[in-house]
Amino acid sequence: MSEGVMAVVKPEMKSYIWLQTADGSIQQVEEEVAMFCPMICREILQTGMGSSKNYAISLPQRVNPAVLGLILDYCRFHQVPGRSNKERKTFDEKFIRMDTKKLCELTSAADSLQLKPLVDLTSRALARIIEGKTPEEIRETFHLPDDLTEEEKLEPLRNITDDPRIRLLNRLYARKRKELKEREKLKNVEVEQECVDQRSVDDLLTFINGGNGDSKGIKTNKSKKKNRRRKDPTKDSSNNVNGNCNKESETLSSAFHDESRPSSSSNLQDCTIIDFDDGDVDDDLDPAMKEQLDREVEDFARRLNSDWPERMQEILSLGQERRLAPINMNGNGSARRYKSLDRR
Amino acid sequence: MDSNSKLFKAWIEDRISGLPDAIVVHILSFLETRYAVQTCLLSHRWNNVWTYVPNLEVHVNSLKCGVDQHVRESGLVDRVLLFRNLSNIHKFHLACLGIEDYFYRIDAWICTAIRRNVVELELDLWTTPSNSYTGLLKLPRSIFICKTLVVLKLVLTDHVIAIPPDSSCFPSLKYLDVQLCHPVAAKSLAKLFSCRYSALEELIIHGNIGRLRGDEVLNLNISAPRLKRLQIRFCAVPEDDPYATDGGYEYKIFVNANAPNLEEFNVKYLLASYTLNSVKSLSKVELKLKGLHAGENLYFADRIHKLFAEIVNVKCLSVLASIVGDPDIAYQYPMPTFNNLNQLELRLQTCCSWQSLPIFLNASPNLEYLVLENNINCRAHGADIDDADDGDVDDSDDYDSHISDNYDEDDLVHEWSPPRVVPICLLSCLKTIYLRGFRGRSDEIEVAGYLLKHGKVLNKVTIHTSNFCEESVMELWQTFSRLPRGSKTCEIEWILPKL
Repeated sequence: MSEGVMAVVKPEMKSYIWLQTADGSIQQVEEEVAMFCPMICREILQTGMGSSKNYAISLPQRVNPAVLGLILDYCRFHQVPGRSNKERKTFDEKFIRMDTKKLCELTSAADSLQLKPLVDLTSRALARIIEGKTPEEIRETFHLPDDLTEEEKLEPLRNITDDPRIRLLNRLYARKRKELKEREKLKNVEVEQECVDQRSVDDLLTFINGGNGDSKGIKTNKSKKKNRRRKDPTKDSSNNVNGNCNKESETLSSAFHDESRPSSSSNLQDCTIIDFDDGDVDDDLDPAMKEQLDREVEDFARRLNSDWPERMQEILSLGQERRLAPINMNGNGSARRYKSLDRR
Repeated sequence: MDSNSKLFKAWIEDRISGLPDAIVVHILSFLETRYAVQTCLLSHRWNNVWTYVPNLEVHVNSLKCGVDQHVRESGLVDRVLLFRNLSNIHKFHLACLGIEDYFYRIDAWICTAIRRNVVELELDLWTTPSNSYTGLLKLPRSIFICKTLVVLKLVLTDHVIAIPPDSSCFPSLKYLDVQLCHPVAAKSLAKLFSCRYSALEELIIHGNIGRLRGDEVLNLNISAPRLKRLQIRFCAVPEDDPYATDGGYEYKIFVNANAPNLEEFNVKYLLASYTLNSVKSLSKVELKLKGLHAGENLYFADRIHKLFAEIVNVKCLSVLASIVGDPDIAYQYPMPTFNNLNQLELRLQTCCSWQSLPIFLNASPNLEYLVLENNINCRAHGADIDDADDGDVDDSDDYDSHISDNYDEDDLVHEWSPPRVVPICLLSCLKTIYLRGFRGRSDEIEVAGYLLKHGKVLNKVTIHTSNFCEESVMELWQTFSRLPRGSKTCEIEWILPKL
């Protein structure tokens, strides 16, 4: 930026702050630069330290002199108020170019100094490095110890597709999708919507419920006509449909949490017995049986929904003891705060 | 021994695992959820850090691979929701391409997030293109009554609608961003605002509502007593034929905002009929109506005049509306007086005259800060819908479009005819002037000369020139230093474009 007017440089009496890193070395920094760090700022204001060499502010252990230099460069740039957003962004992008080891050290140091903008910047950079890499590549990049056994490594992958409940759910959805497609094709035929959908859900519920003998599905809720709706449904029916859909999804999700039910092991067996071949639509049920199953399922759903939080605790503590290692978290475990103007 | 030494080496060099958990979680929170979950495979320390990430970023795309792939993906999301630690979800961003394939799950996922007290919800739900899907995804009712939801961003299309169940909804919602994707039924948009938004502070509506069929009229009645910032950035142009002769449908759009505490109001593209009940509170208004030229239908002149009347007490105003410079219109629709106007940014397109400048100067007796931007690219009518619609688009990017393009500059006659009476603000209060997009044309120098001569209390004039060549800048500098100045304390500063 060339200026038509010469800037007049006034000799100023600058004040300095003295900082001491963990290794004992002391350095002096311009006051306004140091004040940009909340932790240093607080120290100065509350204890009055830092004004001379003897009373240098001791920085947290994680801040070594090299990293301190980087942090001060960052502060020196950003504490100038007149900079445009573009300038700051450009600086940040250049600043962040360093090897991953240094980046981690910088993150750690910035965190201990509570310099949140820098923590965000470095965290994002680290996230970008992690993104898209396979676990091996990530381990390479960060020199992580490969301390999982082969079995442990396969576990999560296996579980994703092999979890019987997930598999079941996938099948149900596939089935629904197929039926949807068929209905689309037969658009002109006015077929009474038979809620084959509902039956599948109930299949699941009864199955988890302990397989009340007959695991063939029955109709409980009203039909879901969602997919055939015209663009402007009347308000009543749309709410109804919506409410149904809600309830169903809730019961579905809640049903999944029911890990600790004693019948679950036998259900695994039942899973293979129940015929989930597509197109197997079986309708002829004893109406009395239907009613009973109706009520049981609704009852079950209600029970799940009402004491769900407590059950969850119970279930998780049982189901996850294998995996859960104690982790110390601060508060809600998140360093992120909600910003009201979080622009895209 | 080998593995031991490898482990030892890793222990020495592994820095990232040494970071405190809160930081590791913070890092993972910037990742898409599938990558965050993948970290459980890294090492023991990373085993379940992912479960503590309070944000969920789910991108599902049914176009990507066959059925198998997206079934596995949805399975992953289900599992993440199931086995995550019970703690609340802070932010849930669901981007789904192909809602017809994930239909039932979407509802379940959203409901789960709401049950976990989600604070920020972003829903990008799209059908696959060229799809004959006729279904309708209605956002679940629990969204509207969710007590923890503070930020909501959603996309409304003709397959995705959101209808509040009763007259009061979103008890804690402070920020709402609605993107419209043509064709959205105007009715469904109006219905979204049929309830009272008691906590809403910022509302943004953008996108394209498309064609308004037949007698259809859009009445947006926004009831938000705490609303501070309102941005209307959507257009009403049939997407398949933006140059259609029946043009935009803005004349059928009425925006009625009951927002007594409104502080900022931004309008881009859409000159609807605006009624804001915020006479006293408005402090900043930005109008960007690029497609509105001199010689337009008088209907638009009437509307813009009405709009100026609504915002007459504003303190900072930024205007890009060439129609104001049309002398016929200026005569028929005299500008109201902006008594509180302290800062004005007047942006002029290449096709419009200097006429708006004296009009605005005369209308702002208390103006202290003037930004005059010139040479903004002007395209043919209605063609500006391809403007990048970013939330934080830096309008200084328009500088690139200051380089002359197909528009034949010689055809445009830019004349400066100084007003008969010097505007009051020049004589008494205008202290700072900032000229952008300055090229050094003779008429521009005349205008600058006029301002310098009559600006009796000017302190600083900054000229941001788009000339790259050093010599021409030196020439300009010399010309300027010879111009008479009405104010002895006036400095002139030159800013060259960055190369």
